[in-house]
Formats: sequence, C-alpha cells, structure tokens
Amino acid sequence: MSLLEVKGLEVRYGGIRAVKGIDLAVDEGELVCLIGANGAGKSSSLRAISGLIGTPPGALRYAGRDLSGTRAFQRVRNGLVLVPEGRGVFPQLTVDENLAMGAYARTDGEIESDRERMFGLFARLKERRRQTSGTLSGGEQQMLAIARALMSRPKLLLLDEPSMGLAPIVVQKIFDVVREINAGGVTVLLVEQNARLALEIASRAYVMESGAITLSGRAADIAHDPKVVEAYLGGEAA
Amino acid sequence: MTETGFRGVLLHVCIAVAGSQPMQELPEAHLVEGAGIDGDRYATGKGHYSKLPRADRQVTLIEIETLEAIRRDHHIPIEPQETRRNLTTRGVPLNHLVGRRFRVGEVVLHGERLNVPCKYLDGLLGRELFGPLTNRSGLNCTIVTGGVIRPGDPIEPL
Repeated sequence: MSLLEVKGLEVRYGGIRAVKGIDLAVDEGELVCLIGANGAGKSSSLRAISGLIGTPPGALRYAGRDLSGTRAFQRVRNGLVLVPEGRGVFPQLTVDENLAMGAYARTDGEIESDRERMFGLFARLKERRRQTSGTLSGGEQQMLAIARALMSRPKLLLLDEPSMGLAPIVVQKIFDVVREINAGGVTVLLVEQNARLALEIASRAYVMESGAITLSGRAADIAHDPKVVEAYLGGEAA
Repeated sequence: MTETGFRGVLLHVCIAVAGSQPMQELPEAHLVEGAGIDGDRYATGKGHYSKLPRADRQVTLIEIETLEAIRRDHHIPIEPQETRRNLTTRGVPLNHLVGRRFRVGEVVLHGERLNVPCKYLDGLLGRELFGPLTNRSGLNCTIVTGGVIRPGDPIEPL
C-alpha cells in the first residue's frame, strides 16, 4: 500500500483547470520527484495534497486514510508536511522561534533533542539561532524551512523547489541533506524544475506538463527518455 | 551533482529609455559588459530604481512559461514588453541559475539573484500581478561578456 495515493486530482483557478486530474503514488521510504517547467502545475499539486487548496476534485489517501475534509493543520499533525516554494519562514521570528513553530503541535518531551539534531544537520542554523530569519541568506532560509518541517516529525515530506534561487554550493548541501533525511526513513515527494538534479537523487519520477502527468517511471529511465532529455536536460544524455 | 541541464531560446529583447516609460521590443541589442543594454534605463541611470544602483540590474530575464501560466490560470494577460524585464526566454529554468554563468547567443551572463515582484508594476499596468509573479519573477544578471543578441539566439549553460 502506498503512503500517498492521488487519483484524479484537479486544481482549478476560476473555471480553468491548472491541474487536470493527475494520478500519482508514493510508497513508504521512497524519494519520488515531480519535474516540469514553470507553470506546469507542480506547486499547485503539492498545495492541494497538503490541504492548502480547499477541497479539490479527486481522491487523496494518506497512510490508508481518506484526506477529504481534513484541514492542512490536521495533515501536518498526521505527518504530511510541506516545505513551501520560496521557503515561507517567519521573517520576524528568530531561528529558534521558527523551529519552535515547527514543533507547535507536539507535546512529547523530545523537542529539545530534535532541535539539537537540526543543528547537527545544519550547523549554520546553530550559529544563527538568535538571529531573525528575515536576515538570513536564501540558503540559510531554505535550511531553516526544511528544519522547521522536520521539527514536526513528518512521515511524508513535500519539498517544493528547494534549490530555487540558490548558489550551486548551497544546492549541493541542501540535496545532501534531502538524501540524508530520506535515508533516515522520511518519505519524500520532491518538486523541482531542475530536472537533472531531481532525477539524480530520486528513485522514481513523474513528468508534468500543462497540468497533466505525461510520463512516469524509474528516475534512471526517465533521465534517458528522449523527450525528457530534449525538453529538460539540454539535449544531452544524463 | 548540481549541474543544470537545459537548452533554451531567446524570444524577445526589450528596453525602456527611462523608468515607467513603455518598453520597446528590439530586433537586436548590444549588451555592454559591466554596464547594461545600450539605451536601457539601467545602463543610463534613468531607471525607477537607479537611485539605488546595483550591478545586478544590468539585464533582467523572465520565462515565457510564467506569462503563459498567468494568462491561463489567472486570466491576466501580460505581454513580454509589459513585464519590465529585458529578455524573455523559453526552456530556461531561471530560478536555478543564481551563481551560474550561461550563454545567450554570443553574450555571457551571470545569474546574480532572483527578481522579486513589486507593486510598482501592478500600479503601472493596473493589473494584480504581485501574487502570480511571486517566486516566478525572473532573474537579475550581470554581463560577463558583452556582444549583440537577437531573438532566436540559443541559451545554454556554461
């Protein structure tokens, strides 16, 4: 049984279907990517899965349960957590306070040890822990957005364009951590416009174009698909 | 691991002689290393933000895919010459070119920072574009190697 099952998901803006009835599934422990051009509907799909777009047409099942009618905060409490495009950190709160917000719904006694674990993953955050997050660099904000999500102890992490706008050396660090998170048992659904990067770290992939999924399969196979190579990988074999 | 693969194309080249003046589409443009585009307001110090000079305003780019999605999903028409960006591209993941060099025809650009939308454009056009352009507002670049560019020129990573 898949951890996440999406069937016939639609996202509409006004009368227009930006996401046109997509099907996808993510099994427990997998790192799956959803790639496509700007405006293909990737972020809209993630927002719908995380509960940020009302009750969209289609069926969403997570850990065997129907998600219809559940709100975003309830999904977070059940371990389905989004790291939004553009980071979405609370700019006037410190790093420590942002991390505390990630653990807002928790009542267990391991929050402090989890925070230390985040500082182990991202040493820069420890150095900046009392700094307001709006003053952090883009890369540091991305680290904080991921760490904040991890503070809620997700089972399924939805990552929306984590490499967006970051310098190559920071991208490397972020993706090393994404791999590490997945190796530690967290299932990951990664949305990326940077197809080469996403296909390198994912086990399976979906390709999205104009609101529809046009291709899916093993990431290694997708990376050699002639249409993908031409459209997203610069015409060279990956 | 962090290489970005793509092969895109330059669709439009636009300049404005001064801040808030209409942008004009050009059949070709001369990009001057370290300065900007010949005749553009940020090369001559007449731009809306020229009082806060930054090298990363030498050239600005935006994806045609963004404009198509805004038209399709939000019913807001926006033409390349209305975006206030200089170059419109197809097939180029601009959000992933910060810190990278890439070639536009014979010119080499360096991605400096993501552009962010501003209410100035909304006021100028009378359309609410701030939200739809968030995280898709394009890329600000410096010119590493100057030269002449034309619509149709290939865009490739270096």
